[in-house]
Amino acid sequence: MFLALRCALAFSLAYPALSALQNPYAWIGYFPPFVLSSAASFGISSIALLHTFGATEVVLALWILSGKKVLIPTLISATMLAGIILFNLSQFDILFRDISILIIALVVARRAYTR
Amino acid sequence: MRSGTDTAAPEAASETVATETKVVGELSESAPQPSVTASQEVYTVAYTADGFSPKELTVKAGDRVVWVNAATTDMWPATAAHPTHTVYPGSDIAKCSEADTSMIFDACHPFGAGDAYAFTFTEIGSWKYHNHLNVQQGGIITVTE
Repeated sequence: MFLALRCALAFSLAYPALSALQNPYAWIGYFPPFVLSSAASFGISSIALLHTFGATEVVLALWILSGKKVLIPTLISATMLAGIILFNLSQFDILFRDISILIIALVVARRAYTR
Repeated sequence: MRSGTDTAAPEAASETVATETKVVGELSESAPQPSVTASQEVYTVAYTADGFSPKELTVKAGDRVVWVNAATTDMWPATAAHPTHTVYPGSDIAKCSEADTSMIFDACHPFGAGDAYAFTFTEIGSWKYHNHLNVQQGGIITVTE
């Protein structure tokens, strides 16, 4: 069961990153404007920011799949998911699934902590 | 006035578009032009850093709405829901690759500062839309008979 939950979480992290390679504009919209403007002030384009975020998601997914010190990537993932939900409440019809994924992340984190 | 609660007169809106912006989309020369009747009115929705204004607009079927980018960032108006844009009948982001995109409520690409996207509404209903590049920004176009 623990492996299944880790796989579910890893897939949810990896898919947006891979999808963004083909259709970046479908995902850029989820960044809050202040993040995009902050990145722009450092000369980082929204596309570059998106793919950097995506690379982070892939690293987290692989880390979670590896099963080593899973508490760290799951807590980072939970924080990222919470941010995505909070900053995009107007799109709740789409993002309600992220709450389920967030709960999965917290469950995996708890399992990793108590092991 | 038939428009929403915070809408400029249609005549003033069309003047703004003609003199200050580059209108693309179905107003471009290459795109097929919808049949324009004498009763068709043009409404303007301004896009700024705060989003779209007015956020809610009521038009009649056959009227045209022009989104003018008055911000420094790009906009991409499109029908709900993000990211597939399929709520307005016939619309789908997958159709953005087709030669004629005049019949779908989707700008299909980013519009920079000073540019404008136009769409003529023919379907009666209340249509939510959003900025594809910032999904927190959106509005509603209500189309009546």
